[in-house]
Amino acid sequence: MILFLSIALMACQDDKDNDESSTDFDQTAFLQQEAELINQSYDDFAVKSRTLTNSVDSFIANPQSASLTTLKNNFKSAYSSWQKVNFYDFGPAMELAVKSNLNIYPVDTLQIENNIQSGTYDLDALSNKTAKGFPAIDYLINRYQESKTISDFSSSNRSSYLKDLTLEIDNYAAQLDQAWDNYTNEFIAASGTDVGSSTGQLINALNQHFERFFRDGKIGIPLGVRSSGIARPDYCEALFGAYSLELVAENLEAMRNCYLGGNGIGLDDYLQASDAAELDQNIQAQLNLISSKLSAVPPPLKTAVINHQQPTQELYNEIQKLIVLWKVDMPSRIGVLISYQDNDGD
Amino acid sequence: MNKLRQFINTPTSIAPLVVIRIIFGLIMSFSMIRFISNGWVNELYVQPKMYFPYFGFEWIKPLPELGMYLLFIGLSISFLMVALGAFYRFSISFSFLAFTYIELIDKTNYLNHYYFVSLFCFLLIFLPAHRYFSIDAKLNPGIESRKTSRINILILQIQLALVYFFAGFAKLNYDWLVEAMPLKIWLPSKSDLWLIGGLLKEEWMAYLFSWGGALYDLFIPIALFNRKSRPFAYLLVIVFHMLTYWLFQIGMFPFIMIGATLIFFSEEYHQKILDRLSPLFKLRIRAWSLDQNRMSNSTWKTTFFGLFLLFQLALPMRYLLYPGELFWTEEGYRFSWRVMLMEKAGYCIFSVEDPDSKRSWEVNNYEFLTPNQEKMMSTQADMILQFAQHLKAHYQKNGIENPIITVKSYVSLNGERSKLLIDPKQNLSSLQDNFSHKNWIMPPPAKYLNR
Repeated sequence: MILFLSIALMACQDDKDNDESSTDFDQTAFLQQEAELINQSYDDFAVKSRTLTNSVDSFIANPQSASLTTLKNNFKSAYSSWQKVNFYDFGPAMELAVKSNLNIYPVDTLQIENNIQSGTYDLDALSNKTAKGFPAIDYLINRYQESKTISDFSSSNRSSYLKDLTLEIDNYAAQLDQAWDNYTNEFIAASGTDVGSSTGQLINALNQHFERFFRDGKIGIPLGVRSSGIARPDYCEALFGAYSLELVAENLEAMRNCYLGGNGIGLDDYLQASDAAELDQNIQAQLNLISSKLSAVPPPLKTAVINHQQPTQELYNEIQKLIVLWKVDMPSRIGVLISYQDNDGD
Repeated sequence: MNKLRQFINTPTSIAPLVVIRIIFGLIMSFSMIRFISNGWVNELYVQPKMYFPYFGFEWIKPLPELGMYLLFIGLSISFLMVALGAFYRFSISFSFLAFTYIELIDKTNYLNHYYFVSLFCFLLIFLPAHRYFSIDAKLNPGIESRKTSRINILILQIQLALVYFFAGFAKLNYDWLVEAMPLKIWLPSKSDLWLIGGLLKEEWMAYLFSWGGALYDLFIPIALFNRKSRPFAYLLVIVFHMLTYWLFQIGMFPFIMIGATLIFFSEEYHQKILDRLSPLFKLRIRAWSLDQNRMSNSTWKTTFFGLFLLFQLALPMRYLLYPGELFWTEEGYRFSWRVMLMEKAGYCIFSVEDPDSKRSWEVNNYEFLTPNQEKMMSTQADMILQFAQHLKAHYQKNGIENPIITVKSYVSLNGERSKLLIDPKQNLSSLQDNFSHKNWIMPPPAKYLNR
């Protein structure tokens, strides 16, 4: 037995010279880089959310054209900033259940109006998941013409509902920012690539978001791929502000940045170190292709899914191709198990 | 032939059988409690909206939630009763039936070691493991016996030997031996492990583990049968299985094997274990009383075991009946002790077309499947077909009479770039599963052709 082993050992030492595939990848440096990116994104999200709250205060105190414009702009900034953190759905974000509280759409406008009218509501209640967060604010400030919006907000009920919605976002953003600071060391220490490892969590979270919330939530569902081919324009993100394609671009850019590790060590370097430079090239090319397909869709998305189905479908198809590269080829190259469940194997 | 008959019927100490009964029963009882407390009953048998039954066992359905929990609790109790030797025939029969029933519900959860547990339980039904050092023997001294026919121990030894041999035999392939795949992917991913983590990044470790694993599996049965090499062999058993426990998430399997391979040890060794245990239970070891009548050397049983072993020899070889690359098609892959053999990942995009309205759309897999089911389905042709058939029924119920269902199934094998597993033009709703070769499976990645 020992003899056999040593023969096997010698046999493979021979061909080691012509094959330098041993993974020399500094995983700690990679996790530090990703942790810093996440930290910056959470910082930004906290700042933008606070600015949003402030501009709601100004608007409520003095509802007029100028303050409404500021509010709309700051809302859009906060919504865009959210696109940079929404796919980190593990660790603190998962514990706080941020995702399911801040961006469920389409909104239930009836529920919103009922809440406003009664003036009593519990935002934590399950029935209010579709009556709060970014989509609900989008409804409140972007649904009607400026003059009507301004006059509507003479009602104190409406104003305080808007205030409560922004406060909730502000609270979540601040909590997240703080919780991530506390979690950073744990994140960097959990090396390896099994299910509980940080690399495993990051890749799984990225894939889950990219598949369910990016491909389906932002493009596929409005396009009708989940409703027997019948378009559902009402299912667009930022339906009333009608800038959902801009949010798509922000989100895509943020995920690209996560993949590249900003200007530092990212998943691209991980693949290169794992003998898969070609796969990395394919992924980057696919990301570029998605960007160009995205700019070919004429805004807003809610009319594109009806009047310009072909470019929208093409965008969807290219997103689909990246899922295969990210969810199948990349994990099997670096040994990450794609699983949202923990289980025995054999 | 006569000599063989004489050999297998030689009276031998029953102690090894008894010790194995106790160890196996205890491990399995614990294993069932672990299964419940990990939340897996809910995850695997309550949450799914559909299941993937085995061909021919489509009539097997899970019980309602409470029933599933009661079944697992019942199993934990019955395995404990097996360990104690209490109402043995009943408790081991129940254990076999209930455990096998659970395994048959969903092939998503197929694990070689679950199959092993089913087989081991099945064999134990026919073995007199309760005739000594048991509650049954205490209650009914009439059945007590310190001897048994050698065949009753031999059958378990051979079954274990077959598991190892076929596991080793399956490793004799190009990927495993020449490329050290998939260990070359798996080992570096564990580089955070204490002590050996740094070493696992080294390529030669993948070769060492690949070759070491193959040689271990192939030769450990012989080494265990041989009295001289046995202590060393058992040390290897412990080292090997603990390593796999440490490196991979394989649950209770290492402990089951470490416990079960004790069956190879001598009767004196097992008797010593029982002698040590008896004061704990205040058991008075009866004087030697060899009663030939209590040993049933029936010919039917010998024949039965013979047929069982023939079947066990043939089943893992059935893959030879199918053309194509086994790792790609997986035709004849299960029930063959192919353990931790390949890295496979996949992603399936199902498209539905309604020929009447000319509309087409994509299926939201996660609307129908749990993440685990989707993962397992994505790489296995028979499960892809089962899911397509489920979709067909679903859409027919929703008024689409003849849905055309196709799939783009991207599969990556052993770190190769992904490739379509299923013919993307094949209308899956017009197919039915059977045991013949699935000619709608696409050719494997180029490197597996011309080999």
